[in-house]
Amino acid sequence: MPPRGNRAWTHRLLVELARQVPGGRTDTVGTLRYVGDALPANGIVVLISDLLHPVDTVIEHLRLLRGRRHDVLVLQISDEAERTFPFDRSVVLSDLEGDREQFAVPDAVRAGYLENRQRHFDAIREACLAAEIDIEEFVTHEPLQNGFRRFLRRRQDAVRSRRRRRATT
Amino acid sequence: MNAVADGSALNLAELAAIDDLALLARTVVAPLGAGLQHSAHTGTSAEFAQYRPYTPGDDTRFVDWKVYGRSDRLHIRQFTDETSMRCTVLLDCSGSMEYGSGDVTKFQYARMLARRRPHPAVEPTTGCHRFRRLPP
Repeated sequence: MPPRGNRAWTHRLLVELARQVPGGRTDTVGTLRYVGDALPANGIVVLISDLLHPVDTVIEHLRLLRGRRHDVLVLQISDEAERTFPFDRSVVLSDLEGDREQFAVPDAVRAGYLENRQRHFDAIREACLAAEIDIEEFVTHEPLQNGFRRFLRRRQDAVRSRRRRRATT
Repeated sequence: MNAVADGSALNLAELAAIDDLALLARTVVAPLGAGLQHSAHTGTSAEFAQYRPYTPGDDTRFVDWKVYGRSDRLHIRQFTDETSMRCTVLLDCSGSMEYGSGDVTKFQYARMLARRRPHPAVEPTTGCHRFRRLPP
């Protein structure tokens, strides 16, 4: 939906959001490419996603958006179970974007899973910060405003340090 | 605890608190939002930008008569224009967002973020793209 400034449009936007049902495979790269081509430069682009995508291509397209002078914000959504892998019995892990299933013994895979996950998101975070893209993780178990407060504090620091850096160069 | 319409466990007081953050955001975030962005073009705001020599066809309301009195030349006062910042929200609707081990799924949480001004400094006058796959 394109942006509009009236109340009726806001209502339509909310109704449309309420109608959405998640499903299918992600095509973040295609979306970012489309947005980069279609949007006029110099706006704000907010990406709300769990960022379970290949790192390199997503970062490349986020950088392209920065190149078009967009203020890019990435709000990463995580579930607590994804962050800690708290299962204590054998589980069957189902791919929500495909039809694969994998039997797993938590104690055997936990360390490797957490390490891979950490590496994946560290790479995204580092690349975002290098490209002056603000990124914040929101965990579904915590109230929204906690994430917002962290985000605003971090953004305040980032904006200040960027200003300082530009003033010295 | 008052559950909100889409089944989240966040109570209304917590959601309402975010409005205060919007005020905070206006003071700490670089100029963003409607009317806060300076356009590359000159326009009609109150902020003076520059003088330029008068050319036939210019609006005489903008002639600076004091400058004319001093220099005997007609000059036009130009002002900076302000435009609305365009905010685009990309909401991931893929299957992995369906997962939730607690009261809310990642998608429900993301939808709340999208609905509640994902950028707190921006008025809720935004558009939104939800994506799995966009049409070619």
